[in-house]
Amino acid sequence: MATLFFYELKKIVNRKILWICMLCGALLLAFSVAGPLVGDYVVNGERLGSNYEEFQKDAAYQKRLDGRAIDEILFMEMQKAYEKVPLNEKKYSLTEEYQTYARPYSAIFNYVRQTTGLSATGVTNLEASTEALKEMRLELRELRWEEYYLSEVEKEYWRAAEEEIENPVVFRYAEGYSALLSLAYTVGILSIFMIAICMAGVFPEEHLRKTDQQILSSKYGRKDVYWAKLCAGTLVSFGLACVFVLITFVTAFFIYGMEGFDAAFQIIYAGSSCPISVGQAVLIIYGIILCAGTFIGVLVMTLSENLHSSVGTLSIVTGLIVLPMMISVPEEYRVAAQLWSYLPSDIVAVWSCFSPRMVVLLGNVLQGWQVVPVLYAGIGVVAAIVTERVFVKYQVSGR
Amino acid sequence: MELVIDRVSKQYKNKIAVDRIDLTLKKGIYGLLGANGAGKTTLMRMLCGILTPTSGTITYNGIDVSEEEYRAILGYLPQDFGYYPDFSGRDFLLYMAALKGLSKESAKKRVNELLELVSLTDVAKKKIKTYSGGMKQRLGIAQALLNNPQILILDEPTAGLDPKERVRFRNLIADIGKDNIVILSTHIVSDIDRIADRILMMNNGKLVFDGTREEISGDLEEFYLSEFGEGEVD
Repeated sequence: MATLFFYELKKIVNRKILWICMLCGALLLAFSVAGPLVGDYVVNGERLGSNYEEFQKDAAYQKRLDGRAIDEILFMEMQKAYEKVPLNEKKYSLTEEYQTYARPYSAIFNYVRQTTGLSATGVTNLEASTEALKEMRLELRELRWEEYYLSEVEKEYWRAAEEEIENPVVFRYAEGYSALLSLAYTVGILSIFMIAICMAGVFPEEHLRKTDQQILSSKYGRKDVYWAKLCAGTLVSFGLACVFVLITFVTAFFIYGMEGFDAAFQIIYAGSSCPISVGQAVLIIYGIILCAGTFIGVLVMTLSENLHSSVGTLSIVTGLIVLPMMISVPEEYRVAAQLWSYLPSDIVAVWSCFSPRMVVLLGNVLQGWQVVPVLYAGIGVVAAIVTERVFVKYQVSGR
Repeated sequence: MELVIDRVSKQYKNKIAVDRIDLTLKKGIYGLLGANGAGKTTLMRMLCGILTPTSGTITYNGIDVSEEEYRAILGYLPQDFGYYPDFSGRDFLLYMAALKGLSKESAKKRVNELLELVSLTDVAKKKIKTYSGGMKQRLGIAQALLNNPQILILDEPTAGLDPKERVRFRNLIADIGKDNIVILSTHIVSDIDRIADRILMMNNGKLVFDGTREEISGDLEEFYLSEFGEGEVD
């Protein structure tokens, strides 16, 4: 079995499409990470500097605030700075006042806006204490939970989780993790698409090359070779996803730095009530990307053996990937919306991965990212077992 | 050692590809002749267990053709032999040896023997895509022999071989046929003429002749043409 696995792995690795996809994916991802820093920062046709210089400026401001709690002292400091800015102007960020006084606090300003749901002027007019900020945050959370049609059990879970989030939240420079979180969707979609392309031909190729005749008439040419091939394909799918994730991590950390692993997740994604750090959130979502990539690999391989067509399989899987980008299920159809968000091309987004919708199972309350790996493993195993019968009973005829 | 083909038929929608064939094969060489579409390849595929008969059974010493035990003693060279262009000849044979259940050590030894036997030792490390048609065919023959098969099924085995290689191949098959069952179909009547212990002729899915070379007076090709009246020997 080990020898068969080795040769099946070799067959997949020998395929040019794998290397083409890996190279294209790597280039696209490296560009996606570095892209926002490339080129000029132009406002109203006037070049104000390069995007990289502007990023450096913001990074320096954020590093100055690193380690400070977002309490009433920092909040008032920020308000004072923003009071000088004519926020009613359409492009207030271009004003001298903004650039000089407010910009150093823009990270705090944005955090408060997201956590309270207030407008720009609303933030400056707010008379808030640390506790009041938390109250506003909780009120906004309750509203969002209603929109998600959460049950009382789920709401209770999240209320308890909110209590575990540090208060006041300590601001940390975590631009590397922030970039990784905002790129997760791109990395996820690209990974599953590239894996689908690479794996679609693994089984049909044997029929196309007519090697199936020799394989199926050999002693271990049925069950053993099927599982060896499937395992090899699964490993390559996982490996490919790992390569894409690794490239993204290396590029993001190289450009934006690795600081801020322990920062509260809410600094980056105020909409979440998960009491985890931003580093943990990154590990979770990229773990989900690895799961989704591996799952797509298994799904594509089994589907292609059932259809005996790589093109047909790719059409179906492309539809599965693209559909969630075009169609969203209304939240009132709670179960359908939740299942829809578990699709591989949807769960790789931060908002789906850390969605407040949960699964209550035997007294345990599980989040989406905890359910999806088990769900994918279950579907993958069933698909593999069903397809084994198709592979074993394949009839060589009509050539 | 007995391969029993018991009233085997294969039907595709409105066409009967193989029609109630009854045969008992013991060790020896069986030459299968028939025109295009006569049902030779379909019969061979059923003998290899990669195509299920619509009716009838095929067993070897009581073991059904669908069982792993049967496949373990089978060697098969299909007419349209498939290979992996980016594999070297040696790697391809090692892979096939793994499929046939040979241990690593015995696989290495057997692969070296067979590469020598089919004169591919010098190019064993080269990718198959660089091989000529004849070299690929010899590789195909080698893979069919990996497990020292008790049943060897060869569909057009001499296609692409030059005259010298064909002679070597005939001698090899004659040797294997002494202790095993060898079934070969070829359009080169002379290949069968020289080495087949029994000649089988198929037409429209039916077995129309089953006899020894001695039962055929004169030239085999002429006998074939006289049996069928017309048609290409294939």
